[in-house]
Amino acid sequence: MVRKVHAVVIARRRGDRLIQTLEALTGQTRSADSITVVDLTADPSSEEVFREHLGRGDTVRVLSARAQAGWSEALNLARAELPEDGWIWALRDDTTPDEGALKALYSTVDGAPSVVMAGPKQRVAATSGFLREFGETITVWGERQAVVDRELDQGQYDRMSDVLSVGDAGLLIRLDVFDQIGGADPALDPLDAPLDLGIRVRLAGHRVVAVPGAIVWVERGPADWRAGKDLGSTAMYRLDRQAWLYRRFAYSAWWALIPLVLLALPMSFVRQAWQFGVKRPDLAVADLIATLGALWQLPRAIVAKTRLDRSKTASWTSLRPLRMTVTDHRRRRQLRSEARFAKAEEQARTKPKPAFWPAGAWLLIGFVLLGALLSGPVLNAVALRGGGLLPLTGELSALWAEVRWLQPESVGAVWGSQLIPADPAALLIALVGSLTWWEPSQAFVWLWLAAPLVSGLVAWWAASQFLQRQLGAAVFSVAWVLQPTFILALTEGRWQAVLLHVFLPWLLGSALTAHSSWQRAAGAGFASAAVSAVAPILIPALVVGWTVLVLVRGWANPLRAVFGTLPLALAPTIVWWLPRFGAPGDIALLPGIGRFFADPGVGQTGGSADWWWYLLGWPELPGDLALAGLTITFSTFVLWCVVPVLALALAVFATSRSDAHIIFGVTVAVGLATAAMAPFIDQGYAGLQPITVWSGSGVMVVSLGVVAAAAATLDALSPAGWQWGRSVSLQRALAGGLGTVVIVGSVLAISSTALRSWGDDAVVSGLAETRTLPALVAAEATSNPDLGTLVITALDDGTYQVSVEKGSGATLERTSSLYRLRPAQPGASGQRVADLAASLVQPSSSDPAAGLREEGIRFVLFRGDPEAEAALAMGQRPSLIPAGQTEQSVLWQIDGVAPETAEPLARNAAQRGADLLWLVVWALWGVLALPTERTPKRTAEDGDEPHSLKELEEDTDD
Amino acid sequence: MTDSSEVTLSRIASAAIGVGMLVASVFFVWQGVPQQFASSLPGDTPAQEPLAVQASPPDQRVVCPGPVLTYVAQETTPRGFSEPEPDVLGSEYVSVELGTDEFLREFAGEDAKTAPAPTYLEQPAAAGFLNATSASEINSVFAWGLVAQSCHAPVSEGWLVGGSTTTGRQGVVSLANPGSVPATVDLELYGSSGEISAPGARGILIQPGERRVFSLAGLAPGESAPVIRMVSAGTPVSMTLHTSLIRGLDPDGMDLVGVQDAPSTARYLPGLYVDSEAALERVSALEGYDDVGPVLRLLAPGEDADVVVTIVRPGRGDVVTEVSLDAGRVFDVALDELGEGHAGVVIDSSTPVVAGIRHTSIGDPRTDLAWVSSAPTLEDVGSVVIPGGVDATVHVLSQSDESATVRFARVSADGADVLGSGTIEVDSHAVEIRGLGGAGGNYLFETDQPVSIAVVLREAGQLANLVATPPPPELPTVDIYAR
Repeated sequence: MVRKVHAVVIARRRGDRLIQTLEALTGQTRSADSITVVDLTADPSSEEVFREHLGRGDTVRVLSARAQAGWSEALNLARAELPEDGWIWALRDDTTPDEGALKALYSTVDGAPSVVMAGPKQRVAATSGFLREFGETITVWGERQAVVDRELDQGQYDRMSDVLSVGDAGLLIRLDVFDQIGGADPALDPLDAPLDLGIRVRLAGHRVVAVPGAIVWVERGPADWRAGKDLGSTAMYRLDRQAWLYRRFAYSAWWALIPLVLLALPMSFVRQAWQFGVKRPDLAVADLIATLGALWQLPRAIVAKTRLDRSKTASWTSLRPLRMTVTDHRRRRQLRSEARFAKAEEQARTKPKPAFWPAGAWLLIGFVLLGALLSGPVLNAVALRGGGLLPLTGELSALWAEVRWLQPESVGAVWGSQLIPADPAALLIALVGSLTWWEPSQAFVWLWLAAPLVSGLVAWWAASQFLQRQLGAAVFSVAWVLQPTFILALTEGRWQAVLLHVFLPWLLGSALTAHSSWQRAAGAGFASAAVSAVAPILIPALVVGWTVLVLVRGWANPLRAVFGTLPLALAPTIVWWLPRFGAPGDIALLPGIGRFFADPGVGQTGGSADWWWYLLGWPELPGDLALAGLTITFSTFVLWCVVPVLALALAVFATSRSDAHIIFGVTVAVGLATAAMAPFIDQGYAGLQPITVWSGSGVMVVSLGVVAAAAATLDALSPAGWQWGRSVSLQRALAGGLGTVVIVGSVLAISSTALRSWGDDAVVSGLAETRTLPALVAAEATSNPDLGTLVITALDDGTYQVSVEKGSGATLERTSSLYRLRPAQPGASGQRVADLAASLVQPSSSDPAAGLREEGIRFVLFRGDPEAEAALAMGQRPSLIPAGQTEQSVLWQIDGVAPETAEPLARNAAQRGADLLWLVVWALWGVLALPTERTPKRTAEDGDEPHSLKELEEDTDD
Repeated sequence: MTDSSEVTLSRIASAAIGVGMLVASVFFVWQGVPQQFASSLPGDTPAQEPLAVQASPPDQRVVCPGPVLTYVAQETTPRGFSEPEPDVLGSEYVSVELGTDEFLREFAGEDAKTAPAPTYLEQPAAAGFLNATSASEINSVFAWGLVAQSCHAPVSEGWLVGGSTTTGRQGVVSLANPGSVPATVDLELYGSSGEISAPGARGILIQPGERRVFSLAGLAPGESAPVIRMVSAGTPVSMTLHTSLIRGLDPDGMDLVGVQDAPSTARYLPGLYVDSEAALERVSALEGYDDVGPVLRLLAPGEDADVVVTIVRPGRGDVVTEVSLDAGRVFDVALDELGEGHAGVVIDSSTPVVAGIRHTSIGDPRTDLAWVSSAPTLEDVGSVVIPGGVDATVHVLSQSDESATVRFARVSADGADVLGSGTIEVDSHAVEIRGLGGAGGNYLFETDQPVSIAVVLREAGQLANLVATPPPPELPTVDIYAR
């Protein structure tokens, strides 16, 4: 019996491809008996186009359908218009059959009655000779796999015949079987509908074959064809997963359906965890959406299930030989990942990294020496004091207890009995302190000694992300470590700025590569968070900087940049700061925006300078150098020292380093604006003096850009590699000479500041014990950390400053910028303490002992002349037992004080929620940021060799 | 790497963005745009204001000298004479007994009765004036004389000008600590030939609520003109000198000498009484009576001083004497030929000095001496409690260049009722005297100019002095930053 062949063209778009397809259809050696065009263009004029090419006879039928209809729906629609018997040959507007395609297909099915479905060999339309797809199958888990996937067609598959299914392009299926199995399933559009057809045909006891002799040129995959554009891997993954889950529901045994449905979401979470682990958060999100979509489609899957039950005659076991084996599947995955790696390696070769050795060895020695020079006087200390530095608590548990929320006692109960959000930097203090868990304060001593080394190595890493030559990277890291802001931070005890100096190159390096992988983006997120914690004033700069960077670098893929990289980069900061940013709404603070941007830790006064000094890297005027009775005025001297680095930085615009152009522009702009605004943002008091935010944080960002740009210029100047045997080229001498000038200039500029730590007036001093109160108090505090000490400081104008300190004195991890920004007027407890102090510093009939006991004050420390009236008046108190005296202070003890150890307050629901959000986001980001990806090794030795580049070019030419 | 000379669109774009941001930021910061924006944001940090805290003022506290102490015969511990109950002006005071070594009474028999312990009085500051006077007339074979002493507030530094340890002269230094913590007292002694080394006078520990006594002769043996400086560490203490005089075998005068303020260049000593020339001549002719004439004792402890001594005699004109003092050496100036009557002494010195006057009332057959200390200055109000039974005369010595109006009132013991009042007009730098009779009483003074007020208690052969003291100053507020 001769069955007629009814060609069906599903036309979604008009254009050359459609015309080619229509022409190819009419030009077949065995022409179709009738042609049905399903018009999805939603354009009434299209019919004329079809008619023009196909003829106006009654064998040509044009059906209009809604534009959103998928392949299956269109096919079912066309089927309804066709006679009972015959074959249906499905084409799309972008699948152009070879002129013998139908003939080959038909001759295959004609002689074999058991074959009811056949598919041609699909070739890539753009690249001749490449197979696109040839037959489809499923893995043991039911995932769709093409039998052949993008290979050069060398006839290697021409003996293939029986397959599980075939692709949609040029699919030929017998109409009665099509009806018997219930038609195509529109729920599986756009991907798995032909696969599903093939499986159902097979289960109905028929055969499906791939016909090597028939060739169809395919431009796009079915999903891309439907969307009208190239879908990204994420969208493809979502469609693939959703179809797979749908088919699982549809194909499963009835008894397995409920477990499958119940397990769908949990299994999805497992897969999402895996996707996070392999740094594909986009796929994790896609998986979730796919699972939810499949569950939404569950009723349709049940319909599909009953349909399958009706037609099914063969068992699943009978399909097993046609499925892809586990081994094959694994091998295919391995091949794919090898191919990806090879591609990455190829890209890496075009951008070599600077080699660390041998220059690194000299740098290591230099940085260690610089650390010793800057912080030598504190070498033997256990803790640091002075400027913003305080000792840390001795207990590791206490160190971590309040990294997120401060107990009311830690902020002097200023805001009553409620938890106060800690500065995010408290976590960093705890992290640093935990490095020396047996004595957390020690970590800061070591940080001070190792800061140049750590900062220099991080800077080298950052340089290796955007520079290629050793010279450039070396100049970058050395000039970065010699920044005045860093030296000032070390000599003025600004631990925030020391950490900022380490974090900024980290941020630079990860931000520059953030667009390249999710892992780098998540890492950049943590770098941003760290920078924001130690310098909140930089938060606006971070947001602006990221936005510019994402717009510039992610121009090619704005969706990924705006909805992927940007959230990844900023989310850790946002969730970390959430409670701290919300706090000013809940509690009374000093007015002004300093409440959001105050430096963490102890408030410090800072010097000032004109704005243009910021461009030179100085937040304050450089100190003069007094040497052997000769005072050198440094401010003019420094100007000359920084000329080379500024000139080199500006010269970057003459090079082709476009990333350096952007870095330079962005960092100088945001840094300069931040530094200029900082002196106008109040952030509480240091003692009695109002202080403003340190402008050095912004200056450091400016310096980062200047140094990066100068290093990039040198990098571009220096020659590609050491060419042995040739004389040193002029280029190399020039680059080396300029690099030396930059470094020598930097050293000279900071020399007066760097030597300050050795003078008698050094700000940072080492402590042999971790306490800021007298030893007796510290000893008592070990057994009772809640005891209070009333510190009365006599000021020069006859007034007094009083405060209550707990335990062995103030500790760094419990300093709070919110506490510093508490209202200027003392609260109830401040008033009580003032009354107590007033009745102490002069003779009075009221006995302060009761009040002191009530406040849990065990000691009274008077800082001032021990012969002063106030000290003598306190000495006349029988309840104050003398406990020690130095030249500047007198200590008394009060008996019978049993300070109540307040139960730590528990977090309320909102606070727990904020913490949970923070932890979850950080855990996810942490998993993402872990560098588990295989990265191609690229060193200067490989990359700098000129011949290796040549080889590469030859390779790609093949 | 790519050829650096190749000009691509992306390179131009990146350079344009970089240069654009660079130039724009420098321009705007140069124009001060971000700075103006930041400073225009609301919320200036206010300057921190200290809390002006007023502590409740300390309780007023005065220490009374208790029984007069002097040595009997060759005994090494003094005996207590009289059992004085102080006359008190005060409304809510409590009397607290001080702990002391037990001293026998004047006539302790077989039952060895001990002299009562001295007391101190305490009264809340808000309860008004607290003043008291301990007075007694001693008349026995061991001692003779009228003694009267205002109970003193304890001090951290005080000077005693008076006494003598030559033959027949006795002195007992009494130190009392009414405070709550131990006091460590250093005594420095000066004599006519300079500072006296007295190792036992250093580091005297006085427990709270304790009184300790020392023999002046033990500290400064054979000294005709001692001056004592007392410095207390820990808490203020009170110091009194019990001095007595025996001529031959007969007691011939006693007095209690109170502390005066730290040295200054101007000292005012109202309360001098000079007996008639005739009486003086009569007695001074007798053997052993060569020291009955009034004597001004001066000491410039630090530096040499040139002192102008003005004896202000109401209605009889001033007598001016100039004296040069060697630093650290006590100098007694005889005040001769002044004529009978009341007078005040004003001392104007080039360097800080302390001063006291010994004067004598001549009776028959006995005489009595008294020491006049530099009187405190009353700027506003003051009080004195005058014991009854002795004729009292009040001296008002003006320290001002303007004439002063001093209103005074005699009030009941609790200070609530005014029993009588009057006004004394004093010319500039003059002394006015007003006889008050022998009724005694509690007197309050109010002046519009700085004055010193003293009271002379005198009968023939009996003499004592009191000074009016101002109430303790109000506590200033303390400025405290307690943010």
